[in-house]
Amino acid sequence: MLRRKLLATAAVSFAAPAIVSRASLGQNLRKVKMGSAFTTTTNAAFLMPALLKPEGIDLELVMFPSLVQRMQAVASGDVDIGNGGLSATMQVATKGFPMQVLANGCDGGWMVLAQPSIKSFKDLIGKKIAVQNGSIGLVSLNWKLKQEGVFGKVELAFMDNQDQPIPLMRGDVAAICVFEPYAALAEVNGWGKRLWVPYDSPMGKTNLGFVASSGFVKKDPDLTKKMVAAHVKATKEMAANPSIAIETTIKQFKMTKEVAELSTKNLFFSADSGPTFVSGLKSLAKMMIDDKMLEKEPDWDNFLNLGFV
Amino acid sequence: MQFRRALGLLPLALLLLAWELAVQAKVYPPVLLPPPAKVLMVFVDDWDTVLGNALASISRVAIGISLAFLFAVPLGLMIGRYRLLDTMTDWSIQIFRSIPPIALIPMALLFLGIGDKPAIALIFLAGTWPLLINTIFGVRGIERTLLKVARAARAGEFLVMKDIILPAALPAIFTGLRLAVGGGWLTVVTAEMIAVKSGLGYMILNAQLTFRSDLIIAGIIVIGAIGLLADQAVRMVRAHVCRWQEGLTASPE
Amino acid sequence: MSKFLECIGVGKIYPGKTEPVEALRGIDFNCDAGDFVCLLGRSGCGKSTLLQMVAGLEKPTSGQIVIANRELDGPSPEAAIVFQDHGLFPWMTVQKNVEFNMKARGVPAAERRATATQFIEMTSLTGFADRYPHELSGGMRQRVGIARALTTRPKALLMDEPFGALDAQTRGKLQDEVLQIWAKQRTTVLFVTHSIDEALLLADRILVFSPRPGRIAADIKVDLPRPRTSQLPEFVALARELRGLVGADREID
Repeated sequence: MLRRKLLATAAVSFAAPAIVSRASLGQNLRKVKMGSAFTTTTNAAFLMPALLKPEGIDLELVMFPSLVQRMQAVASGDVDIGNGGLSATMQVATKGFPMQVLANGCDGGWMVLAQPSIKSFKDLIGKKIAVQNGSIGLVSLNWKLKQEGVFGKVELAFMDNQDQPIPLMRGDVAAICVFEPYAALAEVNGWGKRLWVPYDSPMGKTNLGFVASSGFVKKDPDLTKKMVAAHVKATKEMAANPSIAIETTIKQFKMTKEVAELSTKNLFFSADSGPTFVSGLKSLAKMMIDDKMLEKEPDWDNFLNLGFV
Repeated sequence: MQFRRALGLLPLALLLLAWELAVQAKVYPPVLLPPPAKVLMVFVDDWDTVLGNALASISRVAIGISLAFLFAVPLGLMIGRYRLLDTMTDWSIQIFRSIPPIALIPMALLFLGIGDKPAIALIFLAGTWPLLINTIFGVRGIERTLLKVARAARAGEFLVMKDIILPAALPAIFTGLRLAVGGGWLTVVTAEMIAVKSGLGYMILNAQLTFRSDLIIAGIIVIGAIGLLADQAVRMVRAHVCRWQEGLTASPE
Repeated sequence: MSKFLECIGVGKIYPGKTEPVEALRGIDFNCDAGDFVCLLGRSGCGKSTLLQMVAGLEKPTSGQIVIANRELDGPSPEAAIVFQDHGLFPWMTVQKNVEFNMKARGVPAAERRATATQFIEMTSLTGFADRYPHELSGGMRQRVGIARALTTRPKALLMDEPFGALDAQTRGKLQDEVLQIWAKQRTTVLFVTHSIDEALLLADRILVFSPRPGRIAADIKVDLPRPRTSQLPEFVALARELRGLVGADREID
């Protein structure tokens, strides 16, 4: 998906310094590039450069406008490790580009809101619901529509996340399935009320992961270990200090404090890569296959490499 | 003559060759750069999809550019003719023509909603500016003696517009039309980002999400081919309508 | 008896880039209907300016111009003008070009067609009615311009160096044709030229202009019998006299 933020990204150089430039005395810093994307779920990445400097790593964060583009960069070999949408990671992996999931990244972060007159999914019959094509939101939404028996009777309007609040306000769509902070934005402005908290599907809150190409991991397991460790630490810090995420949301997305706070409540920073995570991920794969967004399940043995956590 | 035209295929053939070689040499991962044969299969297997989407995009561009024509040409004729109008509108035109359509998506959503309307609106905007500016230019470029002839003959304003200003500006208007069709076609991918369910832009965007690079490339090829055909079509119409102009480029005596 | 055309104290001042430019000062002359008057002079002496004002294309800054007892306020229906750069509409056939001045007056189509055909024949353009200007030679284009001017049966035919861009042979032919037309139609002709020979060949009366500011330096009657040839001693004598008045200058022949 072409995110218009490509234009904005160049201008918004708020993001934490991409390169930690000052080398400590006598220490030879190793340069490493890490990929991430311009979303609320990836905020932990900004803490990582500082965590890795003492380890002798000069981390350069390469920000992409969207998680899909981030994955495209992986496939082209530009940035081998970093945050990645798990749905996109699986798509790339099953198309002949070996990837590995190293850890969980952030759970949740999206919401289904509807106009106040909509009380249930049945009320959406014959109406439109906005959702970002190819996203995890879409996967969860399809599942829900089938559950409610309205699949095929509700029209999906594919739009980028940032485009969805306005049509909801205007009434062009009756509901939106949108990622933070736009969900909070719509809610705070009264344009929509929560219709469904989208985490009771088999895939649960599965969203973001810390991933790398298989080649990268094989080549330098030591570096991989260090990076995963930093990621876990950064994630734990984000979970413990919501104010960091709130501040980032205000600055990067130009949201008000109220919106930032509400959206952060919908973000679940967690590096917990245990059985819940794995089963959620496997369910996600199955749901994507059902939706024809994925051709086949990844080779789980090679795909999951959670030992570094 | 036909042979010389066929020379135009040469760069394309070279490109195709380079592409095949790159694939053979495994320079890029196949998930991002599929072999030409795979792209060809898209035209075989998914022909209906490609055709359907192509028609959808074409109709949007056709509508958008037609609206642009109906709006920009009369306006341009008047701005070119009446100095005061020109002074009033110059700054506005210069400001608005510089805004890339992609930046206007949020406004399009706000004023027009989702689906075909904002898509056509963006295409309309992309086509309006070249048509408007070239029409004005065409009017300005009218030989001054011709206007004197009209004045001396005490011709009414409507006759002047119909029989003099419009025909005189037609070559420039056609130049504008070529640019407008090209610009509108360029914009179609952007325009189809707003919750449409068909079209080549939509097809390409969708293919990006599902990592179907063969579809992406097929879409790009179709877009390019249609762009070429549209341009040729406009040229042919111009050659016919402005056939009186042919002599002006060659020496008449 | 009142005169057909009168210029009374006519002057023209242009604003100019740095300071006002006085193109004409104190032009006083008049003529009867049917006179053939040449305005002769070097370039820059205002003769074209005066003609444009008689055509109603420019307004005098002082004085008045009266045609057929009516003071001019814009182009007069009694006058028609022929330009040096013919002023033919490239997108109209000869037929349509010739019909234009009548169309501007609201003459119905059938009548226009018939009258135009008549004058096309009179100006030796028979057979070229469906051609476009770019297909014609320079001399033919001027004929079209003349035919067009004649269709409204003007009482005053104004010609602004109409043969200046033509070769000597074509010029000679057209001069003869103008004289024939004048003899037939008995219009008043105001003919601007910088050629002494041309003035002597055509005119009953020559107004010699001097420049900066443009003034009438001399008003010469030409009594030579028609048809005239430049060989006649009287012709030669007059030419010498005029040369002295106009001033030695490369432009004058």
